[in-house]
Amino acid sequence: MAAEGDILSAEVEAVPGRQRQVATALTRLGFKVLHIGTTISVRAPKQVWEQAFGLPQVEVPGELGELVVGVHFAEPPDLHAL
Amino acid sequence: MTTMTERREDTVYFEAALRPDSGASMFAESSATQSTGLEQLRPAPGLAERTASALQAKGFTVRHVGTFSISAEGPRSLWESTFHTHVEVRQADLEGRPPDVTAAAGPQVPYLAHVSGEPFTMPQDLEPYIERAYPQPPPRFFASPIPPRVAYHHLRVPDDVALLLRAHAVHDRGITGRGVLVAMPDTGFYRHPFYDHHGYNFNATLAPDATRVQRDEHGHGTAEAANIFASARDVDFVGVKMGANATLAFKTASDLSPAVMTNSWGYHLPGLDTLPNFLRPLELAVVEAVRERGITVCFSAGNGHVAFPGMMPDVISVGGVFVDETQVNGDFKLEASDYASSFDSLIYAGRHVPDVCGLVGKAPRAIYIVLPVEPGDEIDTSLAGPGYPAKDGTAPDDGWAVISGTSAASPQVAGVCALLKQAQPGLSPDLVKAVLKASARDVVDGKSAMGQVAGDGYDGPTGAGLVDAEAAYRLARSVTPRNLNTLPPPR
Repeated sequence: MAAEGDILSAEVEAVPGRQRQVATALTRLGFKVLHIGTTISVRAPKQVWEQAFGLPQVEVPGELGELVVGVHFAEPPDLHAL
Repeated sequence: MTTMTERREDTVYFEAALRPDSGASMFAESSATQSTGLEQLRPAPGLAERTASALQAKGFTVRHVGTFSISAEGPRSLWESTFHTHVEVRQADLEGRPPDVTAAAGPQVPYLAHVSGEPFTMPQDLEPYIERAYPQPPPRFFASPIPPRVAYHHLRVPDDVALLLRAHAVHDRGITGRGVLVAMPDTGFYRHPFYDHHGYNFNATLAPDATRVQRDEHGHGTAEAANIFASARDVDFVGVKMGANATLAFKTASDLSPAVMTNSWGYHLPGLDTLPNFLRPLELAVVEAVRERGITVCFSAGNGHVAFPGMMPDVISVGGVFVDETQVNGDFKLEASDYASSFDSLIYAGRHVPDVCGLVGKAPRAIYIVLPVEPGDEIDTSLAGPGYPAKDGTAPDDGWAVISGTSAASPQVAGVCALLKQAQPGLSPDLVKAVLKASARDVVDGKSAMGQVAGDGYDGPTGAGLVDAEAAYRLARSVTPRNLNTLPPPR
């Protein structure tokens, strides 16, 4: 997963139409919401992730249980020049 | 003598300003040389030579006797004792980096500079000759807008790439990509003089998790963006600098609602028949961009990678064709690049990669197209030096590198897409792809990185072949875009 220091980035997949509600809840949990679209781009220190989602196995917290379909951590892509 | 990178730490390099005969001074005000006639600043005849002799007599080495100043140098101790002053060692970055540099420093050279607040006294015997003397710090070197010459077969932007993609003929008809927005998420977009020199509309912005918009620490985005302008010189371009999350950069670019997006990156998914969950958000974002926003999205096919999203059916998957310098029957010989990917996706049934091709070099490193990079960045330094084809023969800090890969091919084809969108703004992404495939030049020689062999017609390594901008334009201008939902169902 892509990480800068102990910051982890991820895409959160919400139930269609509930993205804003999920984003609000994530913000309350200490996540930085970077973009809301088809999925929600977030980042947070590893500690926040552990508290909210119980890493390394992701467990969606109760208040988001009905609203979050998946959490997908970002990984760095290959650049196709070299 | 010495070069800029070999300046000696114990030597003061200075300019001694000669005292004008008129009593005027070039230091009288900040714009003295603008408002005062040069004649008024000219020293008396013979004064420059007498000054040079006086400096030499004190032990300084005079390098040049000019009209208004003398260039000279001397040991630190001599400078300090002559002018009753002190200098200190400072470090200068030789590269033309922006002032907000916080990343790894590039090559630096030491120099001696006057210590602020220290006295400086002109000796009585020099007083009639020299008005002031200043140590000279090294300059910063900015990249040239003109690429360096290398000794092996290579292409230059914009002209060679435009010529081989047959874009010149379209430009001559006034179709240059004007009014078409092209977006590109990548490593960064350094404002290289190449872009300004050509008058390109080159803009950069940040993904929400990225920083330092003026920088491209890697060089990839700065370089590959030049390929777009080779195909379509008048596009409105915006590069989106990636942070840690490539999907976020893609979505940020998509939110700008460009007509065309180009992506020279991807994820290697060998042997997988289902998409890993962590890539579902990116897949969704690509689908949204193409199907809901009508953006024509190009992705590189990969350099031996089984590349995603390059394998998505929604995108234009761009592979590589190498054009040799030799001509056959009056045209350049085309062959599939053995550096570029070709494969059948196991994830998307029936999907073959690539659809069409741009220009790509050959293995081992596809050193092929001279492209601008930020001086001293990762690409500039890692490829520099003699030893082609492992090295590109350029300097490590000259702001140029010779690279390609399908990273170059995707923006080339994106530029051609922009030409088509200018000619026919209503073209859907599917129709743009269909036009490119229908008009491509067949490539019958060579094999891809995966070993697939080219042949007559549509083939594994090149798909429909090398994009032909002129033929594509001729097709596109005659197409009547229709909404498929309004057509009668097939009988």
